[in-house]
Amino acid sequence: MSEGIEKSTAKTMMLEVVTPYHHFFEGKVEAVVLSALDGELGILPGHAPVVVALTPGITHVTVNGKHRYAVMMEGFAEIGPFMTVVVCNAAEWPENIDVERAQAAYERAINRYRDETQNPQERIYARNSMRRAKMRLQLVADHGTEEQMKKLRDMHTV
Amino acid sequence: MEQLFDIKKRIRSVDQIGQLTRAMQLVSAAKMRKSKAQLAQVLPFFSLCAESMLEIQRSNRDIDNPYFRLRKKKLGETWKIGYFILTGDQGLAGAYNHNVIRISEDHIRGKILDNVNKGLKTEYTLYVFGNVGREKLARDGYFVDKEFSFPISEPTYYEARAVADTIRHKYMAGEFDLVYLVYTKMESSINMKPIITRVVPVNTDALVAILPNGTNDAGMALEKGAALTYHPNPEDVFSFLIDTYLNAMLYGALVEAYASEQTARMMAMDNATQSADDMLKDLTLKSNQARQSKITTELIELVNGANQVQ
Repeated sequence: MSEGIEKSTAKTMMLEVVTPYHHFFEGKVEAVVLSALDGELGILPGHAPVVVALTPGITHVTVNGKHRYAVMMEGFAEIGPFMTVVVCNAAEWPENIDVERAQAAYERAINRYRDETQNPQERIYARNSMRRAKMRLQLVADHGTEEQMKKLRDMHTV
Repeated sequence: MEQLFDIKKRIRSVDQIGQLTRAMQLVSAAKMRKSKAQLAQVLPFFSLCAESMLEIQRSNRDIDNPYFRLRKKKLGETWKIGYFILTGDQGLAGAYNHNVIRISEDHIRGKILDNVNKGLKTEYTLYVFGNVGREKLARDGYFVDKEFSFPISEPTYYEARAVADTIRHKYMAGEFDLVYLVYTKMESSINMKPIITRVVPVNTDALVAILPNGTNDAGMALEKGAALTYHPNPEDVFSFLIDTYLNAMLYGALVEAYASEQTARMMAMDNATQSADDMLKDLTLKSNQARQSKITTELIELVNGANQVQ
């Protein structure tokens, strides 16, 4: 492990994000902030090995000193000193998010969740999809393009 | 001459069938290319999930999670088994459907026999994707859940998640003790193999078997044997892992089965088209011969007639 300690002083680590539809991200990063079950978790190169459960949320990646944000859905991450592998159900950059669709999904989910006549399992699903849609909207609101933000504002003023 | 007319009729029908199979081949080829691309995208996700499960189980022999624990049965008790069988919605795909059905039937019979020998009872339910398999298995007298119907073509992750939820729910409610998945794995573009794998409780040996060849160590973040910690706690991490693992298993199997089906159909139709072409060649030759001999006979008749007039 002595070799490991030497190497772990390196400034970057590999980050790999895998989803069922595509290889979302692969490359060297300086830091990554994941949304773990109990809050955000920052990872720097040389982190001790840990497996983390992820909940839908905004992930923050630092590449070459630049910050990038993406939304990632539930999954898990394997973290090692040189490499972090994130396996999640879906991941998107803000510019790829369809604002109208996310908003529609959010409204649909919130109505289903509030409907007391639904069975409990159904309401849990609704709560989860509500959270997913909310995170997408949140990401657009914080880091989306001008056009997306305008769309979002228009929708909220209507 | 009667014969010439018959041959011409056959040529027409063979030609029409040939056109049909050629069209089907083209359709399957297009679908196959699409599904293969989808398969290539899902494989890393699928194998990463399987690998993580393996690695975590390897380093934590004593984890106590219902999804890892094989339930124990006493004499006279019943094993409840759920089979999820992936067949095609259409035939004309060579031995594709037949192979899947055959190994499922063998497996069910084997399980029942095995349990009878141990003094246990067996209850099973088949959940079949695809009409061909559902009808065949129901006709053969197996207990098929008739309510369960699911589109097999162009699978999405969302659909896979719905099925995975059913499995999870039934397994935890005690409706199943074992869940098997039967599908066709694409070993290479010309070699497809039907396989049976146990989904829950998680079977490490089966996991190794379904991993694409040579990816056993690819992309692991963790060093083998490193002490692992779980954040926030092992239970939560496991519930997420199992969740993702089951979804990935189902989705991976659906995509792979669909790609296999299209490939099998394309190959079958390719063969059919070729046979039609061969037959056409043969029949054309025969028809030419028949025409030739007809002309010869007519000529002889003419010459004979002329001779008699002289």
